[in-house]
Amino acid sequence: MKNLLRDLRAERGWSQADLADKLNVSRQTVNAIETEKYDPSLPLAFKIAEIFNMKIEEIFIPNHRK
Amino acid sequence: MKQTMQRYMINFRPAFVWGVIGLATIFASGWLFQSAVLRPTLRILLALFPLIPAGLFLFYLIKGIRGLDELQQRIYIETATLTFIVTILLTFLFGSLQRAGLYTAKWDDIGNTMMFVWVCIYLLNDWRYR
Repeated sequence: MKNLLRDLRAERGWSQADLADKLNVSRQTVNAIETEKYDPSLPLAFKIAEIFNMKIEEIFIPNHRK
Repeated sequence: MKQTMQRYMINFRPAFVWGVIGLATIFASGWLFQSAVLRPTLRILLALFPLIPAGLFLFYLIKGIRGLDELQQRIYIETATLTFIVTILLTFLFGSLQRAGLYTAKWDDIGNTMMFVWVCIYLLNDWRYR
């Protein structure tokens, strides 16, 4: 699944560690999501959407959708 | 990396302590079996004694894993599953080697192999998500 996490984080000037602190996860998890090696669970996806004040589908894009 | 390591250290410190105590009791009981003449009841109690720290190790290990975030939990679960499968296969291999008269495995070999396999698979799994 593709996502805009890296761009959204960069827009706000946050480091991966900053975002990891806000989400209460490790920096490794944030990095794995950004590099699309790992798709977050639904609760974590909701938390990410809440932090960026966006909808889940605006941040995460399924591979079949362009 | 530093934050992840700190999280690991905090979550797994009690498990680590009980693991070390467990290993120490295993070695101590093994040493006592060889160096002292003990009554059968005492031998049974001494042989079962390491189960107490081992049980506490397991309890704190599970508690530590539950305190990790979802990706780290996934890494641990994948590692445990693969280690289990590889250890079973290696146990069959030890059996085959024994039947062929090439190598007689000891009980400790299985435990040591399992720990070695765990570390290798964990490092590999952790690297996958970096």
